[in-house]
Amino acid sequence: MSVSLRKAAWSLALLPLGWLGVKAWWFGLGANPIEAIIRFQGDWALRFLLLTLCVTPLLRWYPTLAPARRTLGLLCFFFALSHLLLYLGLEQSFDWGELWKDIVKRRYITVGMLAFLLLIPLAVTSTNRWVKRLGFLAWKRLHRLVWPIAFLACLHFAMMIKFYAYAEPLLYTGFFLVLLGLRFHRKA
Amino acid sequence: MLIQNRPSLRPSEVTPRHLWLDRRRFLSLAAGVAFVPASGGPFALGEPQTSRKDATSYNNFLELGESKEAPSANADAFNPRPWTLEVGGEVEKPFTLDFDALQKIFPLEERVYRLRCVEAWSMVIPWIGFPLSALLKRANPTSRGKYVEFLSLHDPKRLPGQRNPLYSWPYREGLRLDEAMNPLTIMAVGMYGDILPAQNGAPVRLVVPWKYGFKSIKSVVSVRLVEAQPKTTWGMMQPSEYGFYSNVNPTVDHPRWSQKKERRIGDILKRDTLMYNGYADQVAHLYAGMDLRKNY
Repeated sequence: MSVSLRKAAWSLALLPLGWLGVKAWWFGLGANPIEAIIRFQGDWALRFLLLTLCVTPLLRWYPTLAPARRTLGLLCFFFALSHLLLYLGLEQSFDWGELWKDIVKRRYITVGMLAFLLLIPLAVTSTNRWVKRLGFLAWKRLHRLVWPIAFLACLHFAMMIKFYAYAEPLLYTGFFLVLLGLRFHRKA
Repeated sequence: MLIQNRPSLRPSEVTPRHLWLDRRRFLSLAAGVAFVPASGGPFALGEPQTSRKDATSYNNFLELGESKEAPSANADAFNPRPWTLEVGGEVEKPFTLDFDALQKIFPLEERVYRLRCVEAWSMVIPWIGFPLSALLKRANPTSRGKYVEFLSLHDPKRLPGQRNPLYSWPYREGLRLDEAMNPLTIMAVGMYGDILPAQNGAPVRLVVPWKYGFKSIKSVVSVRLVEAQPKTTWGMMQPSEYGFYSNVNPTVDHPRWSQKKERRIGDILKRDTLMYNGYADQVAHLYAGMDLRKNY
């Protein structure tokens, strides 16, 4: 059961990638395809992150969904990784000096980079072996990092956008706050 | 041994065949235009031109929508007729031009210019137009005119984006008089050998190639000489990000991103941005002695 659920969750990644392919093939990605692809990867990293956070509240009614949470989290990581690599390669041409200047100087890059760095330990410790090694409680505490990461990711999105296009980042931030509220509500 | 001795610039890079064929179409469209000379001298550019499709489908024109694709998608909503362009303010002979006069009154020339957007992308576009100086001289500016103020059309029926209350309409821009009189500064009525499409600022727009694209105001209805530095739309909205001068300058960053490099539309990797967008020889003297960090 859990194996097929995981497979189903992994195959979710095919949906955005397939959509990107269809768009590129039939409609083209516009005059600035590089930017379109980088933003697409970023959008989906954030969407998978929020989907990951949806699993826990749903466990109350659908306890068998638990294994999907790890897969969705890893999908978030892989989209964030490709988002970052495309930015490094195509925006910065792997110029590390420029990259460092960008990280220090541009707050939305600082925030995005911090979110990615925090995501790395979560991706690394996503295996069953790591849960055992750390002990479930410590592991769980570590993975609460997902909350600051989600907040930083929303902030990163909102900071890079022109002020008239705030609707989308606000939507994600609202969704994030609802999920956060749900957790507190259950604890209370 | 193979010795290759090709010229670094093929004639087809300057003016592709379909463009000069298009230009004939333009000539027939704009009756009264005798001859549009191909760009030459300092106004030719040894760089491949951006495809017409990209230049007409990737636009910032809030009046026709907020995304890059919206202006071309909403272009049909815009009818450039009737049109009047008013030239006035501190001048001895104010006058008004209608749509047809715009394309007849001054000899038209083609200018292939780089266009550098403040968002760090760029294009190479063959414009058709006349020097702004010709327009201003015709009105006999008085000595009190130190700046030129430009206004776009304000008509939410034709430009539905103007229903958006986030901005103060109409879009406004300004130049110092010497910038306005520089030979590089033109009023364009066409591009790619045809009249301007709505999304590119029909029927007449400013083109100032050494400044970030938002300075090149579209769909202009009013050009006035004024004494004080005019207010500009982006300058009023985000004064820390968009200054009055907004000269292309790789050494002065936008507060939120670097201006050192740009992506030429059609390229994968970014290229270095040139000082004054590569027009330093023509315009650097205008800013001699000025602190370009303060006067961004």
